[in-house]
Amino acid sequence: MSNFKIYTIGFLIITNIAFSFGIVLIEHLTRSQHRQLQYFSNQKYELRNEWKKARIDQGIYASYSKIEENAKISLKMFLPKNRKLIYIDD
Amino acid sequence: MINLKNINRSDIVIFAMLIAATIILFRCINLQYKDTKKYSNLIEDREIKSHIIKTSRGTIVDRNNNILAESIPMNSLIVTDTTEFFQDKVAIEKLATILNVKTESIYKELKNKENKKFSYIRSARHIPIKKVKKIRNLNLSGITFIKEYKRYYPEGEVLASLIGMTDFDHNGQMCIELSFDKILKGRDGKKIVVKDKNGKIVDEIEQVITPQEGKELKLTIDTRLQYVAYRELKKQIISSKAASGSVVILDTTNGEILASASYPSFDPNNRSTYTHEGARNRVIIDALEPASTIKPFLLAAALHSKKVNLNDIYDTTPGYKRIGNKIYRDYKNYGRLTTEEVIINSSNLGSIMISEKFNKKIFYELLEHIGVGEKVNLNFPSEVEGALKHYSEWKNSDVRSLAMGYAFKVTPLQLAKAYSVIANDGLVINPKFVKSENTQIHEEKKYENEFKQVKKVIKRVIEDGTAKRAAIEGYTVGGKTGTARLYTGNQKKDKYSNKEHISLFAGITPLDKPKLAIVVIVNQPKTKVHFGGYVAAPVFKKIATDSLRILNISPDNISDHKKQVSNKIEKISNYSLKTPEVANVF
Repeated sequence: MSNFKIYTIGFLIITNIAFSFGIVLIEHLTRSQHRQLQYFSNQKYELRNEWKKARIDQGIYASYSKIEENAKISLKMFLPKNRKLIYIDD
Repeated sequence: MINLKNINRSDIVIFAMLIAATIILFRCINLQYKDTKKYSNLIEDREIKSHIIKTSRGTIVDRNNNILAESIPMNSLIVTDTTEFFQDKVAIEKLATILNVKTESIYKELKNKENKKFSYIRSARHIPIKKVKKIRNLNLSGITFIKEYKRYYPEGEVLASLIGMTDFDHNGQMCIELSFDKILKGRDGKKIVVKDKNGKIVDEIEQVITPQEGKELKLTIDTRLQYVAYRELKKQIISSKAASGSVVILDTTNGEILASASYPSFDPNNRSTYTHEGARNRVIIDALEPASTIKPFLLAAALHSKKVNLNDIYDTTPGYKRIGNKIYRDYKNYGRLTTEEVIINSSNLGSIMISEKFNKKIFYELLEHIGVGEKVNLNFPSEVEGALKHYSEWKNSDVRSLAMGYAFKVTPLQLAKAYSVIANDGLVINPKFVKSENTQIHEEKKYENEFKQVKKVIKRVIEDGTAKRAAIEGYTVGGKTGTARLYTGNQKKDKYSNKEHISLFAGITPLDKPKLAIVVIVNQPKTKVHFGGYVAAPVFKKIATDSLRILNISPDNISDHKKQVSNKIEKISNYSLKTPEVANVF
């Protein structure tokens, strides 16, 4: 067997092994990235739901009815009568 | 004897392969017969299934991005194996306690679902996370939890008749939730997953259909004005023991509906409060005879005919008139009235006399121009178009009825739209409640001079006429009261109740630079005085006062206040003369 053939076979074997490792590595990386993506999308979903809940809470606490109720009952605030208002032109 | 010298390399390879094949065969037999159960259980436990990715329904927000409807995922308990579930009776009792239901109701609900792999318990849908933890601690077998969306309506009863609600499966059931269902709903996705025995997803293989979230819907409604309108309407209906009522606030500059309140209502967060009456949007689907609120339009048509002037005199003595079988009456004997005074005092006899002076076609064309008998086209379920017969079908008695605001019907929204035409000097702007939609403006500005004169007349209705209770300090207001007798007749015979009335008020403020057109309807008040000026006008005043303050609209009628301000400023300026010198400041 000529040296050229031996080197070619050796090169092919090494290439083959390298590609095999490469494929395994890429597959592993893809899987771990996919898992990471799933994790992030789940986190995004959870955070979005938290945000939605917070918006609902905000909607309830900042509603005009709630503000008026608190102003009138807790803070004992009232609207001044119209004749007591002084309007200043812009 | 085998001679080892005769064995060549190929024999060794064949021998090794035979041994390997034997081992594989042996392992196959072993797997097939000995460990069958173990591995088939494993396969059953882990199945490749398609999984629906539920999407969230779109949010509904008001013009200031306040949430009006929002969906958030909640846990729902599912019984996957009723036989296993029924084994632990003590745990079921504890479950009933957590869910605040009777144990029997759980048994009753699952009675006929013994063969089903997926059964809901009604009271165990959309459970808060605290309850889920408690239920999990019971270690009940044959159950699992799934995520389901629940729709929340932070404004509750205030906006229920406009927003509506969804069913348990998140489909729009009524009102805006129904009419914009396609936009709000989105599209569920689908993925192929590996699930274990308990239905839990172990691994995801691929996404077959990408889910599409429901889109956000932005309304023109202002929740602050909506609350004010609902609060004042509810207060008046309860105090006057009326049957129902409605309020609509329209932005006259662009046709945006700022508030649409109906009472009675219901809380969409609590289905047990639902009633057909409560769910009715009276602003859009209730057509009624507008009574005297239509008189400003009669005046506009009369002025347009050039056969009527504001100074013409009408003798309404003695306050009633028999024409054919019918007797037409005024509230009192007004005597001789000018055209302007007919509207200011809301004289029925005067209106009839005005209507007799010009061609009925002119009145019909004006009513058509302002949108009477024509749908507003809001894409709202069951929206009605009102009713207006063609003028060729009008008898003389019909013309008299039309002059008083009877024999045709409008919705409160159509009436508000009509008043916004007065506000805009004849320009018709179609109302809308979706923010992104383009404003539809009637190209032609008709009856401009007539509506300018009408504006002056309806201002006097507030100052000297039937609607003094609608006056707002600091602001110019124009409007007209109305009191309609309730129609109790049928197709064969017209009949109007003498006892039951509908009180109305329609107004514009500020009149000099119009911004708001407000219509108030109170149906069948049980007060001693049932006139629109007494029942509906004060509601208008309260709503308009708060709305103007909330919208930060400057007063346009501040002659008295200006004096106060100038005095105050003078005092301030005298004091402020003692400011430190520039050198001291730096």
